[in-house]
Amino acid sequence: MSDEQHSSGGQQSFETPLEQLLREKQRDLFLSFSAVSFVLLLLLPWLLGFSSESAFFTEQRLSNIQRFFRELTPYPLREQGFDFHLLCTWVAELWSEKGGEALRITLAISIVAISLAGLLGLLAAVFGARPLRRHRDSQSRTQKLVSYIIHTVCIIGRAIPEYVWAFMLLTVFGPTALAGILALAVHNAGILGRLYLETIENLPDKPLVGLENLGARRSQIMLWGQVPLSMSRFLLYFLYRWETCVRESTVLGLLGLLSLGYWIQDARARTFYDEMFFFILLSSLLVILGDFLSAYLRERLRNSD
Amino acid sequence: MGECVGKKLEGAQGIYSLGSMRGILLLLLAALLFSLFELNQLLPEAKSRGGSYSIAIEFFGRAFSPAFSYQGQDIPEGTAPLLLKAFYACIETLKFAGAAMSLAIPFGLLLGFLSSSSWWISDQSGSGNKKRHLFFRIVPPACYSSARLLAAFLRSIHELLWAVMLLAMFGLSEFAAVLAIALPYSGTLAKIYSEIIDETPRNVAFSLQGTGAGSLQVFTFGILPLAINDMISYTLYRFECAIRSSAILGFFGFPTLGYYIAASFENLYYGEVWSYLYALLVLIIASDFWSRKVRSRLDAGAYV
Repeated sequence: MSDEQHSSGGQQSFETPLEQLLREKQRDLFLSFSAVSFVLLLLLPWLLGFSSESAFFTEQRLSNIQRFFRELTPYPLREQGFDFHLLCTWVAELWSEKGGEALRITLAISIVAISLAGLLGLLAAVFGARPLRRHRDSQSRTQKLVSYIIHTVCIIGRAIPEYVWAFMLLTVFGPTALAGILALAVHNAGILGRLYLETIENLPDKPLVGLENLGARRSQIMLWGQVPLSMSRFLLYFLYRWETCVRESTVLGLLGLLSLGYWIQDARARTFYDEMFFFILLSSLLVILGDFLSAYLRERLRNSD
Repeated sequence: MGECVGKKLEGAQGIYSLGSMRGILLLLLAALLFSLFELNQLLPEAKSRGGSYSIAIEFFGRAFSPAFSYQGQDIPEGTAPLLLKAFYACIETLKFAGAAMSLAIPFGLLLGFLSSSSWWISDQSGSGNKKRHLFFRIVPPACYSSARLLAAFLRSIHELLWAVMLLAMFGLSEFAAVLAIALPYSGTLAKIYSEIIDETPRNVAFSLQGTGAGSLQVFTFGILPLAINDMISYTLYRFECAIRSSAILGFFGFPTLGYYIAASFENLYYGEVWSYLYALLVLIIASDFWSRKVRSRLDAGAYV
């Protein structure tokens, strides 16, 4: 179009490289639409306003905030000023009474849950993955159906958050670790299942076709070809999800499991904000340590690639 | 010895290593056994307390027949029909998620830029000027390590724990909920943004630097264009997570989907619970679909 304009103007059309680049840019209506709607999604909430908010910093709220910060100081220190020894005894007491055990439970729940999720995800990938690319057109109807069902179950599992799963499963199982473990496992199995399925389906065909030509059946290709080839990928995703599991298993305590969240909720209910903050910091420490461990293991896996 | 042979083979294939993988798998097995032992020790009630499985059957049975109108008998006059209510709840959920992301994205970008080391590419040829040299040895590392520390702290506390804290601080305020999502999300976004930026190949950046471009120019023309696609698709993924988080915040009394799920569940209206769950499902699947579509267009080389 611009070329026509140039020539009709009677001027010599001379395009700089920059102009040429701009002309050749592939404009995409869908992307423009997406960009506009995303910006709207971010801005509209503020334009519409939130219903309960009239003035945010009311007098009462300000005094509330002040009180909150005052009560964050550990209570033995509130009157006497800072004393390292007192602080240590306070921390030691909280740790031995509640913190240590809760920390272990939190960690244990996360590990058992992610192991279960990994197993389920692996099963989903093994049974749900489509066959090699060259056979995809000639899939049998049962194969298609199984694959379809597994994909759907994965979607449902991961679309519903762990917290909601736990909320529902707790009424079924009572306040035991089992409910939390299952909740975490179901959600993460959905995520891992999808990632594992994608990994297996995106493997290069060549080594697998080699196995096939040697006479391997489909199950043998899966067991000795596809699974071992994607194992390091699987572990990467597994470790990555474990990090979030640690985080979530803390939070499930808010629902009544005996993980760290339980004591956070308990301290909040009694308005012992110092204690609450201590447990929150403890959970944050656990998460950071978990992140470090997982990052270290992932680094080792990557380096061995 | 077996490992040695394994390593050689892998060198030839270059696909995976038995050595470290076996180690990690063994570690995992040990951790699993230990955890099972722990849970068995610490939670004896887990065995004695059998929940009611009839509830489970009833609840999961309703998955195939979600309610389309209220299950309760006495509904006050003028209540919106169930599906409309679910729709409003979805809007509220999106509202909280959007507001939170609108805070998290700029803050995450800022922190992410600060905590990426590529941003600090500078002429370290140290031509004569010793003070300048020293400045670049000290200031950038200090800056990006403190930014990283802040980001790590922000994201190490779960959004619900932020909510517990902020609610204790502000009282029940919707701004507290928005902030509770925005704080940890900006930490996560910062981490991923900085990783993406740092993993971008540097050749373009170095050649620009060679032609005399300054730090800012190198960054905007040499690094950002290569990193932007990954950044966009990760942001969209986080938006999906924000929808989930904002739905959960309903359990704390905010008018998002979680509020209605909890209320219907406690009234034993399992059909309604499933209607709301399916509403959440639709939201999540739609946003997932959208982000995939955007990603594939971006990968095909399209622009806005």
